[in-house]
Amino acid sequence: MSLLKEPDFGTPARTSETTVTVEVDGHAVEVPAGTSVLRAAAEAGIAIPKLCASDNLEPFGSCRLCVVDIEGARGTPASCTTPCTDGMKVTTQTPELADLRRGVMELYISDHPLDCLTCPANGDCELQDMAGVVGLREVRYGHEGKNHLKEEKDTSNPYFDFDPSKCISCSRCVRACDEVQGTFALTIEGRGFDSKVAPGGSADFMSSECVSCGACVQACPTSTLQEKTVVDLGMPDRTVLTTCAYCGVGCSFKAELRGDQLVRMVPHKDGGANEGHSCVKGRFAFGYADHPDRQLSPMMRDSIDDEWRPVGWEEALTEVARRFSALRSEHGPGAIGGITSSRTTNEEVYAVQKMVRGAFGNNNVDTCARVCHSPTGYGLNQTFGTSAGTQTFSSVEHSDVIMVIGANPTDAHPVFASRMKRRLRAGAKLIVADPRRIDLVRSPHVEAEHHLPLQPGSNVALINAMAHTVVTEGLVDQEFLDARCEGQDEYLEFIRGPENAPEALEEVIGVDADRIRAAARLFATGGSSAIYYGLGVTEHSQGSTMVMGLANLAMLTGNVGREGVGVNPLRGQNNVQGSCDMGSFPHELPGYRHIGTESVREIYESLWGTTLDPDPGLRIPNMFDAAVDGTFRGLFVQGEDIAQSDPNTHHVEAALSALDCLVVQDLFLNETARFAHIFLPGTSFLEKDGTFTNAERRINRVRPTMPPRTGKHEWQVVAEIAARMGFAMNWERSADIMDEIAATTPTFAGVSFAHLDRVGSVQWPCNEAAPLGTPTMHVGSFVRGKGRLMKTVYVPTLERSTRRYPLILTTGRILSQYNVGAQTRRTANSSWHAEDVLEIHPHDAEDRGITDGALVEVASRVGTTRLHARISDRMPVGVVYTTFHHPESGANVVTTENSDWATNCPEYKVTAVQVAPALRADTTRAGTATSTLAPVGVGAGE
Amino acid sequence: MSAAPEPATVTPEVRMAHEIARQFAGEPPEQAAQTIAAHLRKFWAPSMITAFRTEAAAGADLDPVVARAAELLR
Ligand code: SF4
Ligand code: SF4
Ligand code: SF4
Ligand code: FES
Repeated sequence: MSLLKEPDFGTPARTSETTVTVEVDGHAVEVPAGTSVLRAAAEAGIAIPKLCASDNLEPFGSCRLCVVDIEGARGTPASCTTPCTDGMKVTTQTPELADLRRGVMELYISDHPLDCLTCPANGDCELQDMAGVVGLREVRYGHEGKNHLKEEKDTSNPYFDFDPSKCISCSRCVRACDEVQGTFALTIEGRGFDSKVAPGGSADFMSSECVSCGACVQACPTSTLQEKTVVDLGMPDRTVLTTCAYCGVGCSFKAELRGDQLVRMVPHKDGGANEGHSCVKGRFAFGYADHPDRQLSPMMRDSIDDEWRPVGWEEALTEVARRFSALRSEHGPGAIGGITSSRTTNEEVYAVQKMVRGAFGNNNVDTCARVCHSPTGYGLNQTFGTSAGTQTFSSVEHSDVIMVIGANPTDAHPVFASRMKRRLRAGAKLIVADPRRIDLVRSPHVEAEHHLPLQPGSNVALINAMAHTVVTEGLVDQEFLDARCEGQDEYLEFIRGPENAPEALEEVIGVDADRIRAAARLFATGGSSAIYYGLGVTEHSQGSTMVMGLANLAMLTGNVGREGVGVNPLRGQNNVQGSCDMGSFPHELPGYRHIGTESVREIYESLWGTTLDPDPGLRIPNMFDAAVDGTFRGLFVQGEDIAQSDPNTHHVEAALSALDCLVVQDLFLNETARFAHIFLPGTSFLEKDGTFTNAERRINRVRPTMPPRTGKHEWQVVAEIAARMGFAMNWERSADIMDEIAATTPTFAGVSFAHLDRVGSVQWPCNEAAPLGTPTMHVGSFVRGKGRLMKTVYVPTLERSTRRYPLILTTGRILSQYNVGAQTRRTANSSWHAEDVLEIHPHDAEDRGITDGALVEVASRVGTTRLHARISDRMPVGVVYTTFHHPESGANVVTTENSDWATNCPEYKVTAVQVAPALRADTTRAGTATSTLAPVGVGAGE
Repeated sequence: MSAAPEPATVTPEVRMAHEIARQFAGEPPEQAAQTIAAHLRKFWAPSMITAFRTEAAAGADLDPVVARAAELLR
């Protein structure tokens, strides 16, 4: 499509039970009470000139361009700050108003460089537009007077420039940063003529609190704040609507191109998940798609010690099929398998699981969600009956109490965090349960009512102590429980037990009992209470138990099945939800239906013309164990870097090197590809045609801005391998795959590309009963009928601090980087996070003679790695923290084989370690030889 | 119930079966064993179940509840 310009109604939409009717230039228009005159006029199709107003910001009334006449009112009020009243008569065009507006514009222009023809915003500048609209023909006050034209540009941010000479002090940027993003990084300094925008107290943007979300850039009506890519490449001329390929928020974007060149990504106002907001990753970090490291040709080699040899698709695909078929005949169908990726589309994931089930002839298919949210699948399925979050993101606007546990939304799910912070600024109460003092605990105008800095590994103890408080203090929503839940008697008896009392567990949790009780009381009595959680809940030996514990607490307090409440997993990668939905677990067909259920298998058997294996296949860690064991010989990995992202790197590497045939499909030669025999180039999100499903079950379209640079879509590659193995997967286009998904999966029955193109996005279940999808789940009754209260016995992890490994290492992520960093490290986002560091408490550092910035060695019983230390009291004493975005730091060299009992999701969040100053300044990842601390232990199965 | 055996000395199947068993330590033993067996049937590949049963039969050092679960998988 040509360049999409979204309408701007001037001020935000209001919701109100009452409406008022006003007359604008003789046209009657009915609007909710509280709507501004400016917006009412816009809704009637009448555009009143404006500069400081925008419909995502509260009105400010500074430019006075939007003045109108109102019958019976004195003077000429600004229409953006004047609410409509019933019967009001408004006139927007008179000669006097025109004079006033020209006067305003004249003043602005007299302090504005008249370089429109060479300005990067030429053609996309509201100041320029308004000069035209008001009919400005002359400027009486020349540039000789006092002006700002000589002010220096701030080019410190890698993605946008700040040119103060063009600033009209409309404060839209300041309000965007405050209201939309919630970072409060900008201020207007000075008064009157001297007023100017500044990154609050800092020399420049880069050294300020700015998190580079881009909201101010989007809000700026001039080119004062301008994307560098627009400066370099010029204004885009066409738009492709698509979805961010980074995190599970799933923001919708307008990819704006100039010809085939992507100029910028601008968040889409109609995007259901983000409603026009973005974070630094989706907004700016797209450069990896044409990074020189990108591989565009298939490659092969006989042994992993050989050099890669580029080959054509035909040769590569034939060879993949030949090798997998040979392994299948020689060692049985169980000897091969595949891993799907949460970074690929639903259609690509579906294709891989179909290839494994149909062509490989087994259920050895798993997804990287194994290592992040598989406990969510298990826990929510057991309690509620389906493996997904219960709410829409916008539901948080109705919450009175928000509990964030094991999640760091400002870094990992920033656009949702902005929404949440807006609600918190409006008065909702916040409980944060996290060992680390994450930003949310105290940020501008947001302060947690309770921060519970629990010990890593004590989640279940905490949730039981909270539930015990609710039950024993008579705070249960008995009506909800009686009407909607089962398993009450057994559960209540269990949770009442003295072993679950906060007083009994406070030592384990590391938080005083009265603070736990206070948090529980707030959650139970504060109104609509919602739970948001992340990998700090799932990546534990009791990850699944904890998810059930969260569901229990929500049910006990009646907080499921309406707006503002619920249990909400914040998904890591963009398509974690979708990859799980699409049947990439070894025991489940699409739609979470067990492979052992004959009636479900029959659906696929008759459509695919084959017989399916009725038994579960191997999970990722089982595949590794079986590879070391010699029974698993061939693996297809799409879009995942398991050598970097999976725990206990030594064990993973031993497994990968043991394979006879490893096929990797990816954008880059990643760490896993070091062990591969065949490399198949993958497509970036700019080339993909398909759908991603975000954490709120929203199915969003991913539309290509260009054909695949590799010559083939990833699903085509998969289908061609399957065909060469004798199993036909006849799809002409991606839309056909979604049609097959819809035809076979009841929750997706109403989904098609055409439907999504029409309605934008839908949240599954989407079917005949809910053609526009299901924003809130479990309304009235649970998917499984009655919600099931599950006993959640606290069982401490076997991973404990010892004399030898006295500290607990926990892991997380930061805003500017994403997962293993394959994409973000190849963008200017590395300006913010050039390496992973180890955060350590001042006491722990002092005990060990560690100074800030020193290189330290981190050793666990399975491995040793080196990182630079950052001394920080964000962590409690005894706990250290790092991220895993860089292969050099190899955080997973030290993580162990421990995993969630129900799903084998690795216990990334708890590893007993020792930390000491490194003896040699060698920063490469250490193996046994360089360890100064302890011999590298041996994980099970090695 | 005793803690799971030292990781380095056991196979993955035995280690994982013990991890599961630890979660049901408070249940009556027979009920716990049945729950464990049902969980394994639902989530484990047959090759893993076979390996587990073989190890059990070969006299691996198993907690009684885990040993009973292995029996139930027959
Ligand atoms: S980019 Fe975002 S955080 Fe930075 S100043 Fe602009 S609105 Fe604020
Ligand atoms: S930088 Fe742009 S948005 Fe901010 S005050 Fe100046 S002109 Fe307005
Ligand atoms: S919040 Fe997530 S989906 Fe949205 S722009 Fe950022 S990375 Fe992309
Ligand atoms: S748009 Fe109303 S005062 Fe600026």
